[in-house]
Amino acid sequence: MAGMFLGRWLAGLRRLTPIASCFVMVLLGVMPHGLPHFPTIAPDLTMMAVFYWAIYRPDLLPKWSLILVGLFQDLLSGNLIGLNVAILLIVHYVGLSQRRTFIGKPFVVAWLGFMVLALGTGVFYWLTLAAMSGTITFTHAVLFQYVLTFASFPLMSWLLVRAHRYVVG
Amino acid sequence: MALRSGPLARLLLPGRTLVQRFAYLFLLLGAVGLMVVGKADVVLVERLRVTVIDATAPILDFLSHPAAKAADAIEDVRQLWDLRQEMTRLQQENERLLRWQQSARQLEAENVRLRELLNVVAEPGQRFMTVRIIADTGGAFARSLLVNAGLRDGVRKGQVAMTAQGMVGRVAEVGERQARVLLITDLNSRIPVMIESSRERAMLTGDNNLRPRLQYLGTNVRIEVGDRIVTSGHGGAFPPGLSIGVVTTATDWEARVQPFVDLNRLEYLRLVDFQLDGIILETDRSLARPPGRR
Repeated sequence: MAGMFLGRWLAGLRRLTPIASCFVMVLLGVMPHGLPHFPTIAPDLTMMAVFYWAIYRPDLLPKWSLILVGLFQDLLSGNLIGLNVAILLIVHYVGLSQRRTFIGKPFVVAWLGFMVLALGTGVFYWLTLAAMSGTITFTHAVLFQYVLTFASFPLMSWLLVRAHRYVVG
Repeated sequence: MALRSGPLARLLLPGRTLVQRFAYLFLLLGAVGLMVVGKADVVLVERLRVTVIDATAPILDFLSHPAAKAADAIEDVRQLWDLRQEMTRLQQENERLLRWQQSARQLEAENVRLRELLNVVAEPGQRFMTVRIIADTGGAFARSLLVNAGLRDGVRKGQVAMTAQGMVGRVAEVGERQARVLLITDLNSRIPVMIESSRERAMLTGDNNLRPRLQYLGTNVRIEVGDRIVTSGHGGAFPPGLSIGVVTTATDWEARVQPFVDLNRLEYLRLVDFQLDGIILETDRSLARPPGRR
């Protein structure tokens, strides 16, 4: 009886992996690496996790969880509060509504999709920030961050696929 | 379960599908609302931030140790390459610094004598503490750091974050065990500065670039590449004379400053309390409001 209860509890815990992985990505994103120029151009890992789970296991990453993850990211990074919530919602919506395009197709298709999506959210991010702060600034770091974000997508997807296969099941 | 099959559910069904369909839109509008509220009620957002940062303090602290080790290892390997060159450079620098030390001692002694002669009012003392960086937050759009000391260690809002080379930023938010340092390159950073040689004032404004901009210079001010920039002390938030950087771009429409501190390679910081009161604190702000609106 106790074993069954424990098993059910563990299964429930495993189903929390997608949400947990999003939180882990937020923490990884703010870890000090000490690499030159890296903090300014660090890729947006959280976005990748949300995109991945929205396509492959949307049932385990409900919309409300994005509010928590986005708020956590905003509060921790000292950014405009609500901005990452909006970004993650957009990513989730696009991933979920286009999942038929990506499922069962070669990885490159998802990668290309992410590339376009990251460009869109990048522009959204920049425009919102410009509107809210009243100044328009453009730094090359924005471009580099974009390149690094979609360039690291394969590696992150590989990790997420492992988590998906062995933890979520 | 009961909701899905009962008569009530049938009644609510159109509403439910509508909510489902527009859920993203509602949530997105909510997020935009948050942005506006966050922009308007700074105090509330700051409290929220401090709470979240305090809650994650142990995790961030734990994570930052191996990260720092890895960064050290990479740095070690990199330094091995130019060890010999570095040694010659340091020997030369040491010689030069010894000469400086000599003249600094003489000047210090002279300064003390002159102060005694003139009866100069003593400046308030300064206290400092060394803190470790546990998170590098922000990204391409904001520049700030989290450090492993907070209220209980004596960190206060407005203290100046420095290294031996110069100013890095200022403490913007303080939690119980952690504090956020806003770097001088952040979009929200404004520091009253002056050109060290000519004492001309300007404002150093960050725009998330590695080199912040000099703004509000006088019309006939001559500024040249290589000019040193220090804090001016105007506004009372920072003491005058703290080194910040050197001018690297000076054209008719733009002047930029390269900070003396390499902001990408920070591990430890010194938080200095100059005991100035130029930063408006939360409590002061609520006191400044008209009585009816509290």
